[in-house]
Amino acid sequence: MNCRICQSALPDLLLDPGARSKDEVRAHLAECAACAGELKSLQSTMALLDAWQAPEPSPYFDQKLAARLREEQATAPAGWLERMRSRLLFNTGRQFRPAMAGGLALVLLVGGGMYADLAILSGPSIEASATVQDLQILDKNDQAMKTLDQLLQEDESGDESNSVPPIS
Amino acid sequence: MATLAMNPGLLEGLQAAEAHSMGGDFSHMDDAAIMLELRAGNMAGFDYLVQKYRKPIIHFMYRMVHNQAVAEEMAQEVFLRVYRSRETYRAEARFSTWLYRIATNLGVNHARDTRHERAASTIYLDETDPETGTTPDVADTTPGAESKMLRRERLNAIRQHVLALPERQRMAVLMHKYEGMDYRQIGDVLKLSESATKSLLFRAYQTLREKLKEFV
Repeated sequence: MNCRICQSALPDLLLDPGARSKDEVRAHLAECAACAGELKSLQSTMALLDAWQAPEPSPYFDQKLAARLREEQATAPAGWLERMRSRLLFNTGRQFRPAMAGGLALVLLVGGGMYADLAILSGPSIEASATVQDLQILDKNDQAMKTLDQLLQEDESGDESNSVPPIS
Repeated sequence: MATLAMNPGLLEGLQAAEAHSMGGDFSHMDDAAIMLELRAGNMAGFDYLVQKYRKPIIHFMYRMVHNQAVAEEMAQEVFLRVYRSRETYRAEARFSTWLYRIATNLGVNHARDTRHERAASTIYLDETDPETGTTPDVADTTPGAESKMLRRERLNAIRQHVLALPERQRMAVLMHKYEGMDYRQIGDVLKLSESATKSLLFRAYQTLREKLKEFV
């Protein structure tokens, strides 16, 4: 065992010392002063925190609580919204797990279906072969030539009409 | 009546049976089962739970807010919420987990609400510190004054650095170190996985080791 593996086992040793001890880690700690020092310093820090003691509860705590409880009992019972709020805040949420799993499955189904649709729609466009493309270019060129011829003819006829001298 | 007159032990037996069912001998019962008793209207169950968890919850709140009056008020609020939620309580988690979740939520909300107030805390020179039992005398010449001062300094450092931890780490340390909860239960309270809780706690202790190394 090396120090790196020992470091990863330190949280278990520190936080759960009663758990099944790992012999390999213990053996490494017995040999490696650095790892043993690391564990000891963390244990000392935890022990140091014991110095922080909280004071005893005041003798009036029960009386005050009883008074507040009487007030509570005198008021109207909590509404539906308040009960739901407290349930959401403080319960484990286990009762919502089936609903959440169902919701997630629905989202996956809808999302996956939409993605598949979009993938088909925006799939690769069908391209024409080189021969067809050449023919298309020739066709376009032919159309362009015809248009040019028409324009030239119109120009020539216009020139002829302009060259006739006026009758006096 | 004649039977009772003939056999007074019968009356005692009846009274004992009544006390068991209504007053409650709850020491052998699970907390969740006591909550179900409370749900059924047996207020003695509530009293039993208050007596059982009163001290740990007050201490937990005290370490969060560092004011005994406020801590006790908040602990009362925790128990009132338990009472209010008796109808909706579900015995799907340990009662103590649920209780500490309520306490944690209240503590976190209070810490957020009073974030600015805490920055400017006041020290009263003539008031006794509830934790050390000493007054913050400026020039104390009595024997042992130095060690008292050192103890106070160490205590302040612990308090300050624990409270300066990020919210979840702080809660996890308070529950682990002072409430004696294991990291599985802390994970349940904080809604974290076991490994995440372990890692959270370990990082917190590493931070505290760095901050408090001069006192170790």
